[in-house]
Amino acid sequence: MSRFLWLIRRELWESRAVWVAPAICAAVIVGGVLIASILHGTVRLDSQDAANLAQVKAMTPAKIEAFTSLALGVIALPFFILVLFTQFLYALDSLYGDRRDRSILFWKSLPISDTESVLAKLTVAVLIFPLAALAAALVTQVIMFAICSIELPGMSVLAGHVWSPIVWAGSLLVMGYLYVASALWYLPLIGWALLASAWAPRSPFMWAALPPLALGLLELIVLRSSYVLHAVGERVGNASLFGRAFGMPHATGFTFAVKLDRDTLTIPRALTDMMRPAEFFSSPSLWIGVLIATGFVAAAIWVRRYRDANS
Amino acid sequence: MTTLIDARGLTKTYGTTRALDGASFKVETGRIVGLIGPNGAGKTTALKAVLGLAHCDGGTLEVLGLNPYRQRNELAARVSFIADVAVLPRWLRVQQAIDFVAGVHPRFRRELCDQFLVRTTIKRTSRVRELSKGMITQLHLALVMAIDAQLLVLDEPTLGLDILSRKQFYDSLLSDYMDAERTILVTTHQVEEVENILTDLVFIDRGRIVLDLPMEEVATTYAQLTVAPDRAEAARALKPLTERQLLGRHVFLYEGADFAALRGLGEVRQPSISDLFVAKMQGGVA
Repeated sequence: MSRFLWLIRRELWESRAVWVAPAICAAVIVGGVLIASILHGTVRLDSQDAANLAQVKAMTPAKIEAFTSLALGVIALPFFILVLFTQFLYALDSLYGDRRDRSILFWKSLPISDTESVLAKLTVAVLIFPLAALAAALVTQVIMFAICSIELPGMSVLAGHVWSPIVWAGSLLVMGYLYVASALWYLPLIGWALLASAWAPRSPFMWAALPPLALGLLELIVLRSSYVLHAVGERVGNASLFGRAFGMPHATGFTFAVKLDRDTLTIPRALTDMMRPAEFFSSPSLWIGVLIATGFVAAAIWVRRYRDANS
Repeated sequence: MTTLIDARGLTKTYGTTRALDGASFKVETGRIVGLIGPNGAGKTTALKAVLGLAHCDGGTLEVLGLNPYRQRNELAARVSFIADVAVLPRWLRVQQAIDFVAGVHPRFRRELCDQFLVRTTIKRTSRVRELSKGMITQLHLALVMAIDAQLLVLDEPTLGLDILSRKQFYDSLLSDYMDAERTILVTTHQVEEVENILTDLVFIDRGRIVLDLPMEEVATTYAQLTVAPDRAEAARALKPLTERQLLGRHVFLYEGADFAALRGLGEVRQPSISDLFVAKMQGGVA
């Protein structure tokens, strides 16, 4: 195993949040559904349900598949939101933690360069956290659909569409795309968190939060403009990510452009149809952000290398 | 014999404090060098400079022919280092520590580490936080002794340990680690515990080297004379470094004195390192 993989492993030994957080999220979702189904009892077919079932059977395959992929998306979303927080908190604590417990003197006594150390932590934040969440989301989706198949008699009729490999592959594709897009979009925030973590004498969160805020307020007072605050807000707000990655310019927060109106159900057949990779990956602001992130990470490596280990 | 560390005129200032003030010393292969000084004398700063963890404001420093600050990555593969007991991460398991060091260090020999750990009561599944201070030091020592390093640097390695663990620590170091190819640089302010293992003595006080001597020369250079009160005046005439009274007798410490003349006055013996240390530090004050 290469040295870099050992560094990744060491991060996973230390930061169990990588898999514990998505595991808890999965347990809450599955547990919640199980408890609800126990309280309600098994669904039985009465005349009303029979009518509903007839309605369901009459649905076009396209509509069933659209419902399925929407349901998959709804299950996957909490994991995505969770990762945004856990990966940022992880980055914020990673380099600072080594200094807090003085273990940095142990790590530095081994032939590991500071570049490798910082890049390992960056890799865990932007790659391993999303991968773990993606895996947990997939497992949760399977369990949830299995529960529904057992609990809802009508589901068996639809099994061919509900378990359609194409639908599931599409859902996985959307999730993967979203994680890649968000990793790139939020890279400057992760890089900034690493830099604050490498630098902060104490409380890396304050060191991460206060300078941009102070700079923004200063600009507001002195220049009476708000470019800094606007730029930071644009980057932090997930609306701009979803807007760019999924072609939803007016999306606010996590509101999908989906209307769950009983009569006018306008959801795309597959969420994959909403992906806008060409626009997203050719957006200059994305790559400017990546460039700035590179600068932050380089600075974090420099600070880790030259900062006095005891202070 | 080759020179492993060559430090010349090192200076380092933290704010208004001069941690190193023109410190020069050399460490040769196969030696066990004790860098000894009171708290705040610059010991740790000197070690950090040697390890490439701190940059000196002035002077030149070569370790294994490298500039430790610029070439720290190359140096790290050839130099081992134990700071005090608090630096092993508390969440790490013993087995993980061994696996990790084995994974990243090209000169680590796992079987040596295992041999050493078998003799201890440390469990492989324990986390560092569950171990006693003595056990953590044993673990760290086991990891470091299994690394075939040219230079081992120890910074107050037995700080906060009980006397049994301290003795064990140095015994293991001598019997299981040290050989003609290996070199140890150790700092401590507990002089007594390293007295019998050192080959060279370096005293540091307020950033300056006040003594740099092979142990075998201590006996030929320094002498401690104990005389009855009526001979005290004669003893003083021979210009001792220090004088103190002990149970009604006068004890003097001499540097480079005429040993025959001293023997005529009273009982002469080699001073202990701690007596020498006290004498040298007082000399700095005067």
